[in-house]
Amino acid sequence: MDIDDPAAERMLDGNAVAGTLNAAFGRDVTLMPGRCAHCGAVNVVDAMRAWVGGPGSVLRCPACDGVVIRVVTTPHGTLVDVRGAAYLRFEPR
Amino acid sequence: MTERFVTRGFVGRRSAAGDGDAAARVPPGQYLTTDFPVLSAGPTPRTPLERWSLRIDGLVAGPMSWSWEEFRALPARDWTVDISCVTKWTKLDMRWRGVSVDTLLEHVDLDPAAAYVVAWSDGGYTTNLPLGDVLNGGAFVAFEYDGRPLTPEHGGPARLVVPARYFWKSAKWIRGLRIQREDEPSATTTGATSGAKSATTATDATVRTMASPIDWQLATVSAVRDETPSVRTLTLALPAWAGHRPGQHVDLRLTAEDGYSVERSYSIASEPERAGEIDITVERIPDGGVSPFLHEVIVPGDRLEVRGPIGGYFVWESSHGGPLFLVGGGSGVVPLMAMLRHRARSGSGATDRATSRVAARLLFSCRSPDDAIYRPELDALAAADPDLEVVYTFTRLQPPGWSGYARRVDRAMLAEVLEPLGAEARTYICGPTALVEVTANALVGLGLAPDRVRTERFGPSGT
Repeated sequence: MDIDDPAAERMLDGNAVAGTLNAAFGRDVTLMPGRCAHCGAVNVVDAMRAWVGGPGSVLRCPACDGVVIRVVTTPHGTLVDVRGAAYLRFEPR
Repeated sequence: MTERFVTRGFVGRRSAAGDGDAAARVPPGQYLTTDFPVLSAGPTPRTPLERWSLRIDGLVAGPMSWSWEEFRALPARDWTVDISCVTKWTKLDMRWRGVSVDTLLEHVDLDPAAAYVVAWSDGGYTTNLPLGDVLNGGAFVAFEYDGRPLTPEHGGPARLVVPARYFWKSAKWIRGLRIQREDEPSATTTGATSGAKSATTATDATVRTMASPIDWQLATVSAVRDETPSVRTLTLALPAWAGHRPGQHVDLRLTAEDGYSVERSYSIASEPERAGEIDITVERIPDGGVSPFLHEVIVPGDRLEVRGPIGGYFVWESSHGGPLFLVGGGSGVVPLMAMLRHRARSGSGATDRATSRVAARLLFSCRSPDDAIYRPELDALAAADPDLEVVYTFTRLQPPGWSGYARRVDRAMLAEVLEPLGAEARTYICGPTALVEVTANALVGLGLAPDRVRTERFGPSGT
């Protein structure tokens, strides 16, 4: 994304939603690799670009800007949409 | 909703509705605003009008689509409505001009089973509504606000407006309505806003078992220290703390008596060798929702909800080896400080090869010497350790007689500072997005392998 776009300064990384995602998945997901469904690039969650402050948060692929993961916390639970990921890899513990 | 720990003295950055007529029109739990906040997650989509279209499909006899000219030729009217957002702001008497959804639906044949509509937008946002909510004047597709064409930041060229619903249902950059039989959860991407709260409970810090990083714990503020005029460090005692790794962060949650809550992430400034407590260093952002509270209201003895430690990516421990190259801008130095403090405690110096400290350099960009957080400690660490060097660049104001860097971090500066460490350096960059982007790109351009360059962005929302 163009770093002169004023929205760019609000772009964070996966760390910004890591707490919410960890709580949802019940484990640390910051190093979980995910393959972007749009371009195929594989990045760990922490390296994805995060947009917070919306109705939920969005994690975008650092290579193609495509949406990989969407997270919304509601009083009834946390919604996680991973349709933008071809896969998320949960490593054995 | 479960019982929630209330943070003493926290009300959040809100103003109640004024008196009189306006107050009566602001729904309960809402706060009046007179501006038009832009709350978007993601970059603003911009579709040129010649490629724009509005489409209705799904459970209709035949889909219908309008180009921009065709859409503007439809009968339109003015609407003056009060809008409430689930983030609790309310704006009265917003003046819009647009085309009623009833008018759009006149052009299609709705299937009798039609019950829901999914509004979809540029940028991937979707929101769903019962069909009844958008019929009979319940919704319109707006193209003008306050007499002027709707700007992209506010959802232009056209957005859905559903006055009876919280504003996050009023999809910006609308491109179509899909009629459906069933409801579909509208998880969000970019677009409008809302804030929602998680309903986890705090774990009392007196429980003897180690708290899990995914649970909220109660920390007690045991000390407060001012680092610079606008930056302070809070020491949080956490008896159930399971330890952390340098570079990780915690989430803080503040809850007001009425249930309003906010969360923020703060990097842990202290080294893991200090057991049972952590330091967080907070920069006071003038209009911030949280940092003014942490600066002005919090005193030792207060308790705060904390979750963590979090993060596996932006982490350095001495076992990772070096050389170590750290680049920090402003409060971005905080996680790097945890790494340096850990490094200082984990090596015994040149006497023992096996545990000697790796060569390390910190390039620290600050506006002025007064803004250089931890400067006395950094200078002392560097003075005592021949393998550590701290290089400052003061971008706005330099000390008298300063002969060092006096500009923003750029490729030439990075090349010079990196040079003694070489292209095998493990690099950690933390700070505002602009600094992170410039530095990461420059370092890869200088030959560093991308997987040895790790970044963490601090945005306005990070403080």
